[in-house]
Amino acid sequence: MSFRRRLVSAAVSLALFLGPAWVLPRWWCGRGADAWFDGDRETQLALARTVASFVRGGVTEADFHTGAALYDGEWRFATYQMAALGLCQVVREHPGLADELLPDAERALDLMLEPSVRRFDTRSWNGDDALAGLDASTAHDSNGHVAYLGYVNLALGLHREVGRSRRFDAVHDRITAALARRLAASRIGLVETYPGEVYPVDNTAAIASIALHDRVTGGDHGALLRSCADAIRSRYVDPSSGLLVQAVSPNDGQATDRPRASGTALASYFLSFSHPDLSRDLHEALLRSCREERLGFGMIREYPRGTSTGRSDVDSGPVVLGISFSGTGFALAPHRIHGDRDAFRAGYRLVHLMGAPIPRSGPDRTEYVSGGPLGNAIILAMLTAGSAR
Amino acid sequence: MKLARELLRSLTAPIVVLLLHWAGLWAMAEYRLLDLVLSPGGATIPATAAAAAFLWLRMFVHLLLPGWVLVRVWGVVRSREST
Repeated sequence: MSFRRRLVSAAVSLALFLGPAWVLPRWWCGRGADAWFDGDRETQLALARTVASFVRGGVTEADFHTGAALYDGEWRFATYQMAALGLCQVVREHPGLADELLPDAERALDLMLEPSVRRFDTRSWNGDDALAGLDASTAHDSNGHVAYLGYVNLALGLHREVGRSRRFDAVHDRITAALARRLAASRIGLVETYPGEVYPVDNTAAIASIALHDRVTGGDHGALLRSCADAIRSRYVDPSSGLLVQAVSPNDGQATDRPRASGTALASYFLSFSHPDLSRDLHEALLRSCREERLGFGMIREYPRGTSTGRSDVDSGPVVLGISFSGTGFALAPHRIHGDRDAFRAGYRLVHLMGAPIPRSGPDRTEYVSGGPLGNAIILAMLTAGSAR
Repeated sequence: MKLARELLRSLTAPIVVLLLHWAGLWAMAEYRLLDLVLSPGGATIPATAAAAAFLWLRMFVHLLLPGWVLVRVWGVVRSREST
């Protein structure tokens, strides 16, 4: 064979080998994206059934392996919180599924309210129980508990919006009142998650939960909600990247961590319940500062483009070449909420590739192999988010 | 008939890789290895190695296997043309 023919042959082989990578993977991994984006009932139900089965089976701290008792406890709690949000969102979109899914959403709420599930928070507050100190008193109000209370309250609010049972109303009212009081009294506009630790993203859950409570009860915390949004915009959004700062000092509100995608994406999701404009601004900042696309696969960098990549931690999940697993997963929610089908499709492709969804226990159930109980609950909540539409 | 046999022979390796991927997917689902390894503090060396091998295999299957199949099919066609 002549040199020229060998050269042509090698070039054709290379083109055949690499060419399909531009076309086939994006098609194969993105097949389910439009069904999720459009809220297809069967697609949502298949994952909802898996998440519901995790709730029914119960998860313990031993199911997680974070290496720290605090995080194991947080992840157990977050599994129930994301499950409750995801199941209620599916019911909101498909009310006919209420009879099947609401009992498990309510089971998740019951578990979130159990002392053993909030033990991680009680321990961090040196034995102070978040639910024992809800009524007005200076001593209790100085202990913020904003993450536990805010996350529980958001799930309670969404359930109150779509559910029929009224047995959670009293605790929902009391938590809302406590959060509103604590936010109003704060000098920095934010409340502590644990002693000495303030995370703006946890506060956005609390703020969103107060707005949701107003929506379902007719309450009016309008002034407080406006001042909270102003504080976040003016003090806790990084002016250059537009991302939310991950952690601040409880003394003066100065940043103690950098602006990051994982917190920004989750905050954009939470704020869609209360402040759609702020939620959209955070979403657009994510696209502008952190989004990458390779071969049709969308990815979110944990830190803004052009800055150092930083290390992975419990918030970001694994960070590979600067790409954040948590940030990419959480960003699916604002992509859907704000109607960005292209970004949603691209992000979903990566979730499909790395999450590895398979039918489990029959064709009517889907499980993301790499997710476990928490990952599957988060994926359900993010893929079914859409309150601002 | 001969072409079919040659094609089957040339596609044996991609088919084996595909079967390995499915076996790995089943094993990951059954033993929750990916869930374990992706948790900070949960990774042991054998679990990490197994999960990393599976993820590389999955990336290969999704990104490059279609091209590999085409190259092998084209190789068979080309060798028949040259004989």
